[in-house]
Amino acid sequence: MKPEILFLKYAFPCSIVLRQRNEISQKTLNMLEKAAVNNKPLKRELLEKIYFRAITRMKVLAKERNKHYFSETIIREYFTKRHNELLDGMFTKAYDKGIDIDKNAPPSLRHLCKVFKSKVIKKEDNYYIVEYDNRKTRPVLSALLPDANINDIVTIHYGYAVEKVG
Amino acid sequence: MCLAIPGKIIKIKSGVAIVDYKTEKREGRIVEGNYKAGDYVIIQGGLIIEKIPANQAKDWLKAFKK
Repeated sequence: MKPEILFLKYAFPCSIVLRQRNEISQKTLNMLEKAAVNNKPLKRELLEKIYFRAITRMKVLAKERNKHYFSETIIREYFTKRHNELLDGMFTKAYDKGIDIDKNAPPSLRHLCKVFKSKVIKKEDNYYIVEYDNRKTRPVLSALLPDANINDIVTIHYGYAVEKVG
Repeated sequence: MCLAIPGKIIKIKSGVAIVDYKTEKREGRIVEGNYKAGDYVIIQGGLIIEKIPANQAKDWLKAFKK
């Protein structure tokens, strides 16, 4: 998968937070959703402009791993690990323009913004029910990943299933 | 169109919750979990996806200030 597509699939689910803060317009949000759902690779410069916080932190991570920051490896490691650590306030070395959701944000918001590995336990018209984080369950929209099946391990972010990982 | 803030369930009928966001009301399908009127919830794509403890619900808006 092109890194631009993978990145957007992981980044898009929390984009309503950017909308809530008026950092992006509804028109931009709709455009991002359409691209994420249709696997359309957006220009890297555009993604870097909108998701500047994620990009800054990916660069920090890439330097640690001695890899290119806009690679599948770094994108995955960033969203499935570093992003959660930042939400927990456990990683503070990424000096940048400001953390999206700082550790003073309510725990329920931080929890919802984390990326989890989950197991699909039910598949319905436009959503799955998944089990994650030791017996928790959540419905997640299937728009970004329409072809998962029961027992598949998928990553989830906010209200979406993102990609199959097992 | 999605809202990133919690709304309060004011009524549930046939598995659909009417959720109040002060400036508007929205419907969300309850597809798993138990919810009741008075619960604060997040809706995405027409589904109720998570319940938010009431004491945290009002802190959400503060968290979104730039």
